[in-house]
Amino acid sequence: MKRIFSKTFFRVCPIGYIYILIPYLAIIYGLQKIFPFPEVREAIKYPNTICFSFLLGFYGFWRVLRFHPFFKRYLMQLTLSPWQAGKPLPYGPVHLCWIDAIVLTLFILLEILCPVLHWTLPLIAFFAGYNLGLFFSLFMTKQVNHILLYLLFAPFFIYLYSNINITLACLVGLTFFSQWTMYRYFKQFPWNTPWWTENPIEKFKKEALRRRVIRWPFRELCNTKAESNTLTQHVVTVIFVFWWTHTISWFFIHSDPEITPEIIAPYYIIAFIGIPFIRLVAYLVYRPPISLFGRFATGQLIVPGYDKIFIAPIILILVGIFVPGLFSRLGIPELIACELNLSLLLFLAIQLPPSYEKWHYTGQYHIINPQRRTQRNR
Amino acid sequence: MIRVENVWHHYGIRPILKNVSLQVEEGQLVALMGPNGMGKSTLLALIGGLLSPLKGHVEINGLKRRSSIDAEKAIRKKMVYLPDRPYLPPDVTGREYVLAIGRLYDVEEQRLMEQTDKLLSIFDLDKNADSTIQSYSTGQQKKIGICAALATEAPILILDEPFSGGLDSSALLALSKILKKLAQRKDVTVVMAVPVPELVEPLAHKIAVIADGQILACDNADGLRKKTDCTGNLLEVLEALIHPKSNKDIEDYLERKRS
Repeated sequence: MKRIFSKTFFRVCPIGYIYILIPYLAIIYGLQKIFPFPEVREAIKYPNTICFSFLLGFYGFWRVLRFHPFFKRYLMQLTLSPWQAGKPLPYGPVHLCWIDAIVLTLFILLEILCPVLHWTLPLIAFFAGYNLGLFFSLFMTKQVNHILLYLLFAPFFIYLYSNINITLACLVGLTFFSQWTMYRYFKQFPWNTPWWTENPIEKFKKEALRRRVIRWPFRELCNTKAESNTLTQHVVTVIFVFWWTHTISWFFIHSDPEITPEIIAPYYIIAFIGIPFIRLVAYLVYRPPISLFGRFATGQLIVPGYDKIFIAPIILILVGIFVPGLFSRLGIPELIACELNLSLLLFLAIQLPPSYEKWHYTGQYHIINPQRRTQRNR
Repeated sequence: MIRVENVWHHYGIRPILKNVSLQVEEGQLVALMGPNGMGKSTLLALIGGLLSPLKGHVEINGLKRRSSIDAEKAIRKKMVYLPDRPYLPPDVTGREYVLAIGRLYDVEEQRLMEQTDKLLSIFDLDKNADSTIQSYSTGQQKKIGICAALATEAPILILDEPFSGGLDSSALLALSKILKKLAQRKDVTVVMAVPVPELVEPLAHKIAVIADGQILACDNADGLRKKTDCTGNLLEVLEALIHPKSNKDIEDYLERKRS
């Protein structure tokens, strides 16, 4: 028992919270004694809720970051050790355990002394923090399928904001799911991580480009431009954009009766203008082969190899203007029409030719010396 | 092999290159010569891939520049372009810089280390190799750029004025010796812009003379002499090609001064 406490309990349990909680509880207790009015007791529910939720939320997040072996040094240590899947992790468990139950129970008991707005709110904060940490770990360990499932189900908590108990139940359900994904991940040990498989020379190359050791013209003329994503990746991205924008809009409309679809729609219009603009700016990093003045002077108004990058933004602007009207004619509600149009614009922006990779290697542009700010215009 | 076909290029109104065609066979060293501002650097930048011609095209080993992703990648792997003044990172040591550029061209690591040491020693940079580039003089910065280009071991070297920019006499000699050795190899092709005729004659297989955006002649030194009926040194041959009236103009000027 002593060993369990020394090995696990003191590592996992946030003992340091005592230094925050004792002074805090003393202040709250003092306030209640000095001002023994029901209004004061009611008012201190807010700081209590914030304090407990923050502490438990941070604890949940820290539980994952502290003990999950996704950090390079821990991962290397684990891979070089005789550790096997199913055995306890050397620095403490990532999965939920009895220590968490003790910590959560203690906080619930504290709520008797220091009332909060709703007893489940600190618990929700804990599970939200824990799941956020696990979501981060999924990114670090590149578990794409699980990331997608998280992104698919996460917005449901916004839908259920009106019923706090259902939200808690959903978060607990998501926690079970995350425990399962973790179990599957640990079972695959030793992991085929990029840190082990990456060629050290490629690593040096990336590092030199990142640190800007390699500069003009070697940087611009090297072959390290990332390859374009696949159509499936683009489709999945766009579906999630639609799902999340729809959820967020729905949340704002239902959380405040004064917010109507007519108030939200202009924000979508800003996005409709922004997407073509961003697409254009992304491709304008390279200079045209001839100045505007030169085009007029030489009569060569169009340079097809360069001007092709203007076609996609023009199409995007036209889609942004005309397609929402088309959706409305089909009887689609205004807000959903805006969300659909946003997703469509995003899809077209990343899908319309030329792809960024193709533009980088085959575009008829100029790579100018960044030291010479102005282009020669003779 | 490098082939430039009917290339036209202008940044603004005035054409810098007018219907330029040039062919450089594999294993040749070709020097571009001509007055300042006549298109030598532009032609090199077009071959090197920094610029894209408004008309015409550039082919490297049968692959058209910027025609497809695969073709362009293949060309970039085989070619190194060193401009007159590359953009050097001030807070990086000379050795780090040369190694980074060498790695970009997938030079085998052990070989790269050895070659870098040798190059730094040849160009008298071994004592400063581990100092940051910001502490280098203009000439030393030029040298580190040349070292980086040579460390890539690319079979096609495009060098814009490698002999200018404050190189000391020992570096000039070392570079001309290296280029002479490279010119003897069948697998290395070099195209460079050089303003000093004395340096070019013993090195180049061919000398392309550019003036007013056009290639006036492209031949070896003897071929140029025949073409101009000039038996003097290369400087005189170039003068006869580029400024046929210049001797008369100078005499006129001096004559007027006397009178």
